[in-house]
Amino acid sequence: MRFKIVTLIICCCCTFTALAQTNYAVKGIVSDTTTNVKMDQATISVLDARDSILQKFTYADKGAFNISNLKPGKFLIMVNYPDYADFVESFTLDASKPVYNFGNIKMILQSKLLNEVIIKAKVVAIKIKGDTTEFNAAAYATQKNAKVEDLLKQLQGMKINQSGVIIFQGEPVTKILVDGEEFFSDDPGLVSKTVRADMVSKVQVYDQKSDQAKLTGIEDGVKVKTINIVLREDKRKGVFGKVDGGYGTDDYYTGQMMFNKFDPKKKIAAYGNIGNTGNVGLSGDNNSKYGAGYSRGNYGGNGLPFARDGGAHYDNKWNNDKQSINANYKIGALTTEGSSNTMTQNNLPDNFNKTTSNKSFRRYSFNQNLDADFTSKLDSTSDLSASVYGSIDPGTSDNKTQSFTLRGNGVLLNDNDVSSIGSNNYKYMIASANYTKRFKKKGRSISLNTRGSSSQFRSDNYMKSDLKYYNGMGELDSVNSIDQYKPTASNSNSVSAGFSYNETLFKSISLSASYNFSQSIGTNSQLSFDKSTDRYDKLDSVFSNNFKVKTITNFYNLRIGYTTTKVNLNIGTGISDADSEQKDQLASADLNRRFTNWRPNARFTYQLSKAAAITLNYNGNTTQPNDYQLQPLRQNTDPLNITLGNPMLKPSFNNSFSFNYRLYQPTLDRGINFNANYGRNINTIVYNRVTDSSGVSTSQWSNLTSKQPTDWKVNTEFYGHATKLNFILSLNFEVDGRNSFNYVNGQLNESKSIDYSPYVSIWANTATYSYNFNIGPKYYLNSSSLQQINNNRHGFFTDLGFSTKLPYNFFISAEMNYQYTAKNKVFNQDFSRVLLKSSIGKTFLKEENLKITISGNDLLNQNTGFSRYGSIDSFTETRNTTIRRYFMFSVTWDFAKFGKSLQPQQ
Amino acid sequence: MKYVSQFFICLLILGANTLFAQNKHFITSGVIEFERTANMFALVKKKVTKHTMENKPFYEQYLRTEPQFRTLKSKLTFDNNTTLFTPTAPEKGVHWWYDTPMANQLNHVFSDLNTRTSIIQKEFYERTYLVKDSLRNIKWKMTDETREIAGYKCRRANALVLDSIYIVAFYTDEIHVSGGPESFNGLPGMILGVAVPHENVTWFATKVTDTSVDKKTLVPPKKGKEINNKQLKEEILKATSTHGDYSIVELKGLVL
Repeated sequence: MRFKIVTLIICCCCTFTALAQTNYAVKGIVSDTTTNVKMDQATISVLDARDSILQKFTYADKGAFNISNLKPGKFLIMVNYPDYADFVESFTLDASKPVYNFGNIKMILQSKLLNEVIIKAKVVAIKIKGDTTEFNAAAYATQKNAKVEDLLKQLQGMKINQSGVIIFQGEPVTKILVDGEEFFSDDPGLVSKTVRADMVSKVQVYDQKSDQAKLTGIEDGVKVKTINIVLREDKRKGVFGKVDGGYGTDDYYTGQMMFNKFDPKKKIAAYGNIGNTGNVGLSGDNNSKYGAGYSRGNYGGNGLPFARDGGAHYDNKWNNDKQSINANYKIGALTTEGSSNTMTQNNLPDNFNKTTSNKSFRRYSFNQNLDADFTSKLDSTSDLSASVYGSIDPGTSDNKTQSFTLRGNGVLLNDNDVSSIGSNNYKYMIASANYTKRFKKKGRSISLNTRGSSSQFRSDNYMKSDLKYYNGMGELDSVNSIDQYKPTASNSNSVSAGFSYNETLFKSISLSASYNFSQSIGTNSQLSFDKSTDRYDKLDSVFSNNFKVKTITNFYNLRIGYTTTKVNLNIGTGISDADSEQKDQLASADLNRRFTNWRPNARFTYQLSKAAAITLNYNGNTTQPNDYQLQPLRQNTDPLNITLGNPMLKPSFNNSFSFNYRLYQPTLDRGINFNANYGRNINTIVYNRVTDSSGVSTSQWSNLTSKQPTDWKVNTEFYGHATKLNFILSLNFEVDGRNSFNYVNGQLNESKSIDYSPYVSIWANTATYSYNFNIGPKYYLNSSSLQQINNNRHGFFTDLGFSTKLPYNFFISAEMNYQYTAKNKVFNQDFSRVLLKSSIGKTFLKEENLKITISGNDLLNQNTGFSRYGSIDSFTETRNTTIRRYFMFSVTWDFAKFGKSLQPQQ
Repeated sequence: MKYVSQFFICLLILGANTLFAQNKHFITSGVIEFERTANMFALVKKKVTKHTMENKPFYEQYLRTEPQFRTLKSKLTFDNNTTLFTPTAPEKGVHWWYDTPMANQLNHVFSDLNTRTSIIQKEFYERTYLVKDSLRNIKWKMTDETREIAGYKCRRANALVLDSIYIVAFYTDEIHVSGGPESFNGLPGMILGVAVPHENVTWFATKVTDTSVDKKTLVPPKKGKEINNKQLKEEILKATSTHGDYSIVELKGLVL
C-alpha cells in the first residue's frame, strides 16, 4: 500500500513537472515519394538551426518518428536514408506550437532526383534550350593539341563526312562562329581545323536566319545551321598555331601553316596551305553566299588535285566596343586532273538506252575573295553597320569525252567525241548597309537597309564534236560535226533598299513589318561562231543568244511573334511582286512577265522540360522559274542532249513541314534526336525529255498540274553513354523517300525512290586513346514507271578507327572504311572497296607539341571514286580517278601560349 | 507510321524510371576493424619543449632512423547497443626515448549506449585503472560533407572534446549504433573514422563485418583500480606534476 502511494506521488510530480515545462517535440512519417512505402529505420536528426549542433536523433519505426524532450528554439530536421537525397527543413518550437508535425515527409531517390535537377558536381554534357543545343566541352576528352574538329566528332548528333562537311542531326552546318563573331567568313572547315579543342568552353548549335533575311527583315525561309564556339575565359588571350610539313612516295607532299593571335578585343589569324594529297580542307569556301555545301574551290575526291591557298583574318573592337571591324581575305589556286567513266541508263517508254562515256579533264581555278564588316554604335539607341564582299575567280578547263550509246537490244545507236578547251572569269561584288534606331518603348525599332551588287561572267570556249549516228543494224547512218568558238558574257547589277518596323505588345508579342524594293538589270550573251577558213568568225545564229533582262521587285513582309520562357511562335508571310522585261538583242523580240510570289511561314518551338524541346516548322515557298528554264535559247554544247526554254512557265509552290524533337537526360548521359521533314510541290516545273530514234534527247520544262511530287525524310538517333566501358553508343535510322514526275517521249513517268540507312555507331575518346566504329546496311528502292526493271539495290558499309598512345611517347592510329554495293538488274557488277589508312609516330617535348609521323594512305590501293544513283528518268554509275596508295613522312609542330605564361593543357 | 510508333515506344522506355524503393538492411551488430595512425615525427617533436631542449637530439635521431607513421590495429565489437573497443597488441613497441602516451593504444572501452555508461580499462605507465563513468557527451556540429570509408558512405561531423581538442568524425547511417572507436560516440550512426588533427592521430575503419555477436565476448573489462573520470584526471596531474610543460601533452594522450 505504501509502495502504491509513493508511486502515485511520483507520478503526480512527474505530471506536474511535465505540465510546468511543456514537452517540446517534433514528429512525422517518412515515405518514398513514388511508391509511398513507409521507410523503416530512416535516420532523423534534429540540429540547432544556428550552428548545426546535433540535438537529438532517432531511427524511424516503420516510417514514423517522434523526437521529444527538445528545448524551444529554431531547428533543422535532417532525414537520411541510404541512396535517397537528404531531406532538410527548418522548424520552430515555441510555447504556442510546442509540437511540430511534419506530416508525411517524401523522400526522393538520388538517382531520380538527379534527373530532375542538374547537380553541380558532375559535368553535364548537353543542355537543350529552345532550338539551341549546347554542348559542354569539359565533358569530352580530347588528346593534347587536338583541334575543334576532334571535339565536334564526339558530339552526339554531329558527324563529319568524308568530304569534311559537318552534319548536325542530318543537316549540314554552314557556319561556325567564334564567340558569336565571324571568323574566316564562316568557313566551317577552316575554323574547325584552326581553333584548339582545349580553348573551347561550349559548343552551341542553332538555326540562324540567312544574312539577307537578317539585313532586310524579309523572311526567306532559309535556315542556316550554325555552330557557335564559346572560348574559355583563360584562352581568349594568347598565341597559337601549327606548322606541318610532309613528303612521301610518288612525289606526294603537304605543307601547312596556321598562326593565330587572340585577344578579348582583337583576333588576328593567317594560314597557308600547299599540297597534292587532296587535303584541301583548309580551302573550303564561303558557302553561305554561294550555297551548295563547301564545294567551290574544293576537291570532291574526283581526280588528282594540286592546291595552294592562304588567308588572313582580322577583327577588332575599340572605343568601349562601340566600333568593330571584321575582315577576311582568302586566296587559293586548285589544279585538278583526272578521268572518269560514267554509265547511264536513260529510261524510255518500254525501252532504254545505255550510254557509256569516258572523260578526261584538267581544270585550273584561282580565286581571291575579301570581305569586311564594320559596325558602329552611333549612340545608345542607334547602330550602323556596313559590309562589303568581293571575289575574283579566273580559271581554265580542258575536257575530252568519248561516249557511245547502245540501244536496249545492244545495237550501237551513236557515238561521240567531244573536246572543249577554254577559260573563264567570274567577278562578284556586293555591298550593304543597315541602320537601326530603337525607340524608348522597349521592342520598338525601325531599320533601314540598302544593298548593291554586281557580277560579271566571261568565258571563251573552243568546242569540237564528232557525232556519228548508226541505224538499227548498227551501220553508220550520218555524221554531225561541230567545230565552234563559244564566247559567253553575262553581267548582272542590282540595287535594293528597304525598311522594317518592329513593335512589341504585352511584352510577349512582337510584330514586324518590312518592305523592300529591288531592281536588277542583267545581260546574257552566249554566241557561237563557226570556223570559216582559219578564223572563227561566222556567227551561228541558231545557237547564239543575247538577252537583256530588267526586273523590278517589290517585297512585303509581315510577321507576328509570341515568346514566353517555354514557347516561341513565329508566324509570317511575305509577298513579292516581280515585273520583268526581256529584250532579245539578236531577234529584237520582247517578252514581259509578271510574277507574284507568296511565302507564308510558321515556326513553333516548345520547351517540354529542362531536358526536351520540340520544334515545328512550316514553309510555303513560291519558286519562280529561272532564266534558263524560261529562255527559248538553244545550245549545242552537248548535241545529244538539247535543252529548250519555255517562256510559258508559271511559278511552282512548295509546302514543307518539319518536326524536330530533342531529349537529353544529363544524369544518364543519353538522349534522342528526331527529325522528320515532308514536302509537297504544287504546279511543279518538270523536265520533259523526247529521245528520238537516233538517241538525241531534247528536253523542255513545263508545269505539271495533274500530279504533285513529294519528298520526305525521317532521321532518328538514340544515343547513350555506356558508363562502365565508357563509350557512347548511337543508334540511327534514316529514311529518305521521294517520288517525282516528268514526261518522257510524251508519256508520264513516275520515279520513286526510298533509301533506308540504319546504322550503329560507337565511339570513345580519352586523353590517351580513342576509337570509333560505325556499321550499317543500306537499302535503296528506286524504280521508274516506264521500266519493268527496277534499280533496287543494297549495300553495306563499316568504318573502324582507333588511335592510341604507346610507351615512350609513340602513338599509332588506323582507319578502315569498307563500302559494298551489290550488283542489281541494271548494273551487273558488285562494287566493294576497302580503304585503309594508318600512321605511327612519336611526340616530343613536354606538351607533346612536336610530332613526327609516318603515314600510309590507301594501303590496299583500292581507292576508286564510285557513285551510283538514280535520277528521275535515268540510272547512273560513275567511277573516277582519285588519290591512291602513298606513304608519307611528316613533321608537325603545334604551338600555344595563353595569358602570361604557358598554360598546362588538359 | 511504323517509325513514329517505334519512336514513341523508345521514348517511353527511356523516360520510365524503373527504380523502386527497397527496404535497406541496417546493421545493428557486428565487428569493425580499425587502424590507428599516428604521425610520430610530430608526436616526438612535442617531447621537445622549451624546458626539455635536451630531447632535441633524440627527435633528430628519430627523424633519421624511424618511420614517420605508426599504425596500430583495433577491433570494435557491437551488439544490442553495447560496444567493446579492444586494441590489438602492437607487434613492436616504441623505444622509451621516444615514447609518449599518444603513440599507444591504452584503452579497452566498454560502452552501454542504452544506459549511457562506460567502463574503460586504462594503462597508465605501470598502473591499470578501471574508469567507470557516464559516456563522454560530445556536441557534434553536423556538415554536408561526405566520404566513403570501408565501403560505407559517411557524413562528417566536427566537435571539441575535453574542452579544447578539435576532432573530425565520419559516421554512417547504415549502422544503427551510436558508437565509435575509443570513447567517441553520440552521432546518428556508427563512427567509422576520426581525425584529431592537432594531436596527429587518426582512426579509420578498414573492415566492417555484419554478423551476430556472441554475448560472452561482449563483456566489460575487469582489471584495474576502480575510479571515475574526475579522480583519474587528478591522479594523472599528480603523477605528471614534475614533468613541466610536457604534462599537458601526456594528459591529452592519456584521456583522449
